[in-house]
Amino acid sequence: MGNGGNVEVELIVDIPTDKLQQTKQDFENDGYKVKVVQQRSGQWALAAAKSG
Amino acid sequence: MRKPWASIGLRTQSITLMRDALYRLCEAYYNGQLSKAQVMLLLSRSQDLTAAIVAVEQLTGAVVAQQAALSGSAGASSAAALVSNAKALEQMQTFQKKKADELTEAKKKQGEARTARDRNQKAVDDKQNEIDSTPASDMQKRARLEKERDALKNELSASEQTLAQEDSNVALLQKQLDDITRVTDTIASQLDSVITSASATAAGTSVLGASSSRGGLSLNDASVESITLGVKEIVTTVLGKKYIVETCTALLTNPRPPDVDPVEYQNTLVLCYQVIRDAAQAESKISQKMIGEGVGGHFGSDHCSAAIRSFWQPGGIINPVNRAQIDAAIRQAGVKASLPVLMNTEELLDDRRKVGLILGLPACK
Repeated sequence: MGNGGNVEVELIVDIPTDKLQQTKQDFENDGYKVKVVQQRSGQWALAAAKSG
Repeated sequence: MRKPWASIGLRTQSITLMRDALYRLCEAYYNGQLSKAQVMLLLSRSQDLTAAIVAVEQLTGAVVAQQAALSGSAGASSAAALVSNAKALEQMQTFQKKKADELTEAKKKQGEARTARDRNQKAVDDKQNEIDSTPASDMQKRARLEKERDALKNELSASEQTLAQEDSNVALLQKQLDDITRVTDTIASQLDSVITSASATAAGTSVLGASSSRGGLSLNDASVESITLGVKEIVTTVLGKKYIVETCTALLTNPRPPDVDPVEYQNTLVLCYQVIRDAAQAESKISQKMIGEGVGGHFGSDHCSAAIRSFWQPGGIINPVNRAQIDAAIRQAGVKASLPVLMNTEELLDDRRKVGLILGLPACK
């Protein structure tokens, strides 16, 4: 939930597989660029950024 | 493995002590030396102690009936020790389930009490609106409405008290269940530990002997150490348990003893109210979270989150006007998270509710 100048950056971790698509869609619908990586636990982490 | 048939009529020291303690408790109550609240507190402690004593006794095999016959090998003795611990675990799990059922019932009552309180609050508000919309010149009607409103206020006050009691009850049961769960987990982990120790010694030092303290079994050093640690953990947990909420409940429901300073007593009561309120609020948050996310609910999938999403994207199409309203609600609620984070972070359920309530979404109540 940081704010680097005029860029908003968000990070969410431990997303269950069945919730990943919805979470990603929410961010994309709000104008974020999204990057998803899988954690060792099998759950997912999502990084999102958009111009403020 | 020939143990059960020789154990009829067993009375251990612990059984005798527990029976005597409960008898004395009952006796003190009927002699007027204890209040109902104090009995409740002492019974609660007694239950905790019973759970611990059963666990310790089964783990250590402190006193068992003399075995009628002994036979078998080292393998059989290891199995006997495991059966003994498994029984303790089974008893604790039964106890745990009973307490969990009580908690479920209490939470149901808490929910009903909250609904009743909300209904009464709405009735008072509606009546007040009716009064406000009645012209000041119509004094007769206003007087009648005000009388009705006051009656409703009394009902509201009663329902608030009921809710506070239910909150307190849920908090108490939750605390007891947590303690039981802790003891059960300890036994389970010690059972695993004993299994490991017993397996390691199956071909070695375990022998049967009628006068041994552990039901005729001799255990090696590692097994003894494992059991000792388990017992220490159980005793420390139970004796270290703080009964502050229960004590406060007893204090608040009894008159001030004549030899206690009134000011000091009043200060303590204020602290006790705070303790119980904090405990109730903590439990209420947990139950609200459970209700909000539904049984088996997961990450960002509660009803409130879904309602905000539908408001933002009705029919799957983004509505910019509603989006602006959501932003305004987020600001008004003092929430720092962005909308996607707010909807998809489990821990932000309370914030979601605040925003949802500002937006007037029923699913967020």
